Amino acid sequence: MPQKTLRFKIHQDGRVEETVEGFTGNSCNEATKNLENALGKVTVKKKTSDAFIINQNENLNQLNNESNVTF
Amino acid sequence: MSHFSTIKTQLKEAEPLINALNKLGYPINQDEKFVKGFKGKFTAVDISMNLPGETKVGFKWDNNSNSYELVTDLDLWKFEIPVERFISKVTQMYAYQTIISKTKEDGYQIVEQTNKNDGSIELVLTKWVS
Repeated sequence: MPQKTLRFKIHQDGRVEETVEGFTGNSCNEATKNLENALGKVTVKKKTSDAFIINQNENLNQLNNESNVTF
Repeated sequence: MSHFSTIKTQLKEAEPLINALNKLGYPINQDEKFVKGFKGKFTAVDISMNLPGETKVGFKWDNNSNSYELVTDLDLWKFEIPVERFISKVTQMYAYQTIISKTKEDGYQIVEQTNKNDGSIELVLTKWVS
């Protein structure tokens, strides 16, 4: 059972960085098309495959070191 | 296949915009659909607010940019933060509200939410697919 993961970094000025993982083929584009349309203009889009395996652990460590804040 | 995108957020939908304004604690004025400026000049808007310090602010749909744009009289701006900072805060919260509602519709759950030191918000959402 594959897991789909969406990661977002919402900058102070409203700019959004989005990372989509765990999709096969081009289905990842479909997965976030509606969201991207609702958010605004996509300025950069890169296809990745293995690049995120390294980043994943880094991100997890980073997240663990910081406190969670709820609105 | 995965992808990485950078998106310039635009205020494209009323619902997440209203949610964002509420979340930030800016009271929306449902009765008035205009912003009164210098010398009593009125401008019609779709969403209007009274910020503390008698600062009148509204959002008006713009057909050229296909998004809501801020309407205010800068000469009468007395709110505690500069107008640029106000727009940034609203845009960031709009992006947050849009992401939360759209991903929920698609069955994603929030697994991590972090407020970073640089003022950004990081979100991780997942979905299991059989």
